[in-house]
Amino acid sequence: MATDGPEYPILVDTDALVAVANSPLWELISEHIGLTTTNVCQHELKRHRDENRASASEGSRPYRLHHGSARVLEAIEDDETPLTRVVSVPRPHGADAGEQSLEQQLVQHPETVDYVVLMDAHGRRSIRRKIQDRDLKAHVVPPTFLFYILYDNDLISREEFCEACAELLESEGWTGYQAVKAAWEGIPVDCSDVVDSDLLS
Amino acid sequence: MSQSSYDDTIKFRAGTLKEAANELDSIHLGGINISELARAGLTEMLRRTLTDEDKIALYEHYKGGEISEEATRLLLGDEFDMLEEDTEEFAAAAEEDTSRYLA
Repeated sequence: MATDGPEYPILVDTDALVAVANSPLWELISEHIGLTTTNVCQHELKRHRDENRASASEGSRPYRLHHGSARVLEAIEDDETPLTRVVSVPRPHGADAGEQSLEQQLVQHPETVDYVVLMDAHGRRSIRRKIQDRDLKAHVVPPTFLFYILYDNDLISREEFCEACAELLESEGWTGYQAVKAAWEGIPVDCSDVVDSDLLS
Repeated sequence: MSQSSYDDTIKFRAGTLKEAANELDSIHLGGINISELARAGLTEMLRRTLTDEDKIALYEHYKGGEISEEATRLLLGDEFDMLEEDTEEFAAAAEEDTSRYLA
């Protein structure tokens, strides 16, 4: 298990990992981008995998939770992939334990973290406030940032970047839209020729 | 973009609501501001009525200049600011050399 591997400066939470593991870019992400998650997120991934059936109808939320989590867990256990896991002490509990474990990692080891990647916009805001309060340097971004790293380094084309965004839009509703819109406006990039306008109306 | 002013009015069939509001206005110490309560109540209910699809269409209309920032903020509340923060954060990230994150 990659527990003792190097810690990479991008921290990723459970929902963000599941979202990108369901994208067509997962193989490239898990092969090329150094990511760190926590044992608490790993536990949440195991729970998602075990509590949702592999045979759930394709594209449904249970299907995405099962298969996405399984893919991430495989990558954590594969020493060849740059996805490492750190252990949270003390271990947070409760519904948002995964998110809290990232916040804890950031506060305990601020020098090792450049980016925190979260799926939930409220979670991003909460960690951003913590960063401001403690005068830390880390940035908090949605999971589309991982697509952007591939695009920015010519590992994928603009079309592939846009298609991955479109899939996130389709599967994650408003949460996906927030992640995608922030990327399109912030970079900026025009995906209007690739993305079905029905997704935006 | 639609122009709105503070003096714009909405008329609706109030039914028993009118009698109830007038009664509370007369018995409540200092009376009540029915217009203010209606504005707050309608804002709350409009937000609760918004679906994910509505939010997406709304923000697209805002970006397309079809609806004012004020009306968009009224409907999205904090989520409007969150999206702006995410966009700013992304814009800052897009200035950085991301090759250092490749393993």
